Amino acid sequence: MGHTDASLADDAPSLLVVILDANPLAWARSPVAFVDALKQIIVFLHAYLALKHDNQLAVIASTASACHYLYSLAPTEAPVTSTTAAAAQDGNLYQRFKHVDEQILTNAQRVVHDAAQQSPLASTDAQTSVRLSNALSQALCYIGRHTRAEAPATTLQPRILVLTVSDDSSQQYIQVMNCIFACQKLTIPLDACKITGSDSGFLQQAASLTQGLYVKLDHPSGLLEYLMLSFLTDTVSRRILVAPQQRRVDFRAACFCHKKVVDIGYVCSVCLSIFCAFSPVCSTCRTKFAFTHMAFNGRGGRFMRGRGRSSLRIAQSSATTPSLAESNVSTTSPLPASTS
Amino acid sequence: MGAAAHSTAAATAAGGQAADEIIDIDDTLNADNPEMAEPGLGYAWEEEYKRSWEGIREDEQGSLAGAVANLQHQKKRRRRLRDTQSVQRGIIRHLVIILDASLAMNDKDLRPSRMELALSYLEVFIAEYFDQNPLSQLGVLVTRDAVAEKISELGGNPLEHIRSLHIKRNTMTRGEPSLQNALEIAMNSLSHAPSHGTREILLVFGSLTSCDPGNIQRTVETVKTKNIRCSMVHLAAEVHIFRELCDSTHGQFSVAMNEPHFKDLLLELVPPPPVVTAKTKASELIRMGFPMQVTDPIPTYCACHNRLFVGGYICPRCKCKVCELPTDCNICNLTLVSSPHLARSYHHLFPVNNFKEVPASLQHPEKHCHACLKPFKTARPHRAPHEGIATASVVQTTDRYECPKCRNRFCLECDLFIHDVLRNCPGCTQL
Repeated sequence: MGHTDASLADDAPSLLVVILDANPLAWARSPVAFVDALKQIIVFLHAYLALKHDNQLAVIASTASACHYLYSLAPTEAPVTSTTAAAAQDGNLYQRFKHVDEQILTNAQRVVHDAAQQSPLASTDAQTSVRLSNALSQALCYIGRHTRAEAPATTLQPRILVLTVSDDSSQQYIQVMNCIFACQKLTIPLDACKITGSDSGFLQQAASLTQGLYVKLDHPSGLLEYLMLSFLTDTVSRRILVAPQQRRVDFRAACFCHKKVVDIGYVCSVCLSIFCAFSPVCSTCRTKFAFTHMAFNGRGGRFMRGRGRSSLRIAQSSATTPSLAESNVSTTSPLPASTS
Repeated sequence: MGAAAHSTAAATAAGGQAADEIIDIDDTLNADNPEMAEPGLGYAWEEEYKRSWEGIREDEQGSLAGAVANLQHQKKRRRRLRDTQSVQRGIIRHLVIILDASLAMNDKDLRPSRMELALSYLEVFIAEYFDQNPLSQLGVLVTRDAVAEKISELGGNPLEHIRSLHIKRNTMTRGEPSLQNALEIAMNSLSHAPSHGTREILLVFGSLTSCDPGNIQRTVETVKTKNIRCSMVHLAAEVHIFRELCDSTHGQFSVAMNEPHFKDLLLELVPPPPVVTAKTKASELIRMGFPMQVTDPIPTYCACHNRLFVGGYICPRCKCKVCELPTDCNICNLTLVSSPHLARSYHHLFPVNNFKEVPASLQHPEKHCHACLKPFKTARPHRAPHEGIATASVVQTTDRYECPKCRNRFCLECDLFIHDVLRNCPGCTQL
């Protein structure tokens, strides 16, 4: 795609896709009401659109069960709903803002209303999370469509902003990671704003892998200020501004058996499940492991942990371990290369 | 290419095809690979007889949109055949690329030349390989003057391999290739690969001959017993011994018909291959380290390149510093990865289902693509949705593709994007 090169024109317009958490139950626990937050978000969107006249915008609302576009209009397209007589010209209001407001507010009302009716039926786990992976997938498809359609001369700078109050849903881990890798591949920064609640591991990883920003609000009522100061600027201007500090993200993995963060783990060679201790059968894919070989490895590991970490001991233990000794050769010493 | 089909003594002449030049190669090829049976795509040397402008016709309103859409549709169909069965795949791979650097690679039937094209596509292949197989390793060999030479060691850094392909001395063409010598060296490299990983060889050949010092059949047998999977993309024609090598080791043998086809064939080999039989491959629990990132603002030296820099990762076992992941620790040889590297491979285990094309006979209530909101074209122009694009073209395809699970419908571009890049269905709520 055209936008993947680093030499973006400085004045290229942006394409911002906002993913808005619209889970009524999650908002009910938040110190700032959904309506108030939405007002502030709309002001932010106005500011974004005012920044450059051809900036483009899409808003996706994500609930516990589905995702809906709240606003998805590029300036070149005709309005989705024909402006009725009620939308009489207001001399004091920029027509585009008016249109954005109408679309977002009416659609948001509908989405939240639907979600509120559905929620009691959904399972308890789903109540506090949103379909983040689906929303991200839709956003990426939308960005893909609009960056493809553009002529190479007018590249868009796409980015995604996630505004959420919900918790991570561990069931979506793989899908969310897939989305993050797609962002990485297309060099789309993924910004995330956690309005309330605990830190989101998914979004922290997403932001750090895609060079986006992650901000967790200390004072949720000041949402607008955070949005304006952190997320308004495009990727080009960000290079010369001081971004909010991102704490180091822990990329260590948690084992599948005890959900414990491990330094050294055992990974199943078939399904890549992570375990904190050796077991003869993989609990995920039911693969039986070559036991004798692993017995060597396991003993080597305990041996080393118990008796200090001198390089001599490590060399000895790796010599007793066939696989380690072999891979050692492959990485360090050149092989004889004459056969004929 | 035609003249080169007279094979020399060392090579076994191609079974039915290359030896007999009059034979219509197209037929046999299409019989082998039904997905190639496509009108308008022939061998590159036949291009001059093809008048591409005759294939495109205007519709009633003089628009070419319909014809172009049809071409895109055809192009896509070729790539749709993707295996989505949840088979066991060898995710940790060890691959040696053998590149023919004989004089036959100077032919210009593929432009700019076979060699230059192969180099540029191999670069794409290597980048893509490491993108999709982050825990895997790769090495590169070239063969010329009847010997083989290793130009990059089996390793996990894509930049190193690409750099070695850029060195002119490594890729200059001379003499004839030697299949046997190249296989021997490749086997040597792969013999050190741990048993839980797959061992593979990818050959890119332009020559119809091979100059071997001994009995090539015996080498093929050895390759087979070592469970090394050999695949070849040939740039000229099928040669019996090459085909036999690939068939007996459960690899793929294919002949590139033209430039884009060559690229497609190479990229088909990027996803990890299904494991042939479970018992040939010992499953293992691999010890892996998940290192902590260095947060110290003071630069320190890394153990891998002796470079002074800020950041890096600390091996959890021996506490030495390495600059990038994934890698093997230089001191204690522990495999060091981070959790995203593992997650990057998960999509091979849970692939997205192939979308089915919605036949025109069915009802089409939805107005736009579920993912990107692109309006679907309709048969009747006055029902065309809001977008101002002319949708009056003749509808040959419905341009709707349905996910078999969530029943949402997507446009062609999204279908491709979802399967090639995203690897998530935006409609499905569960894997």
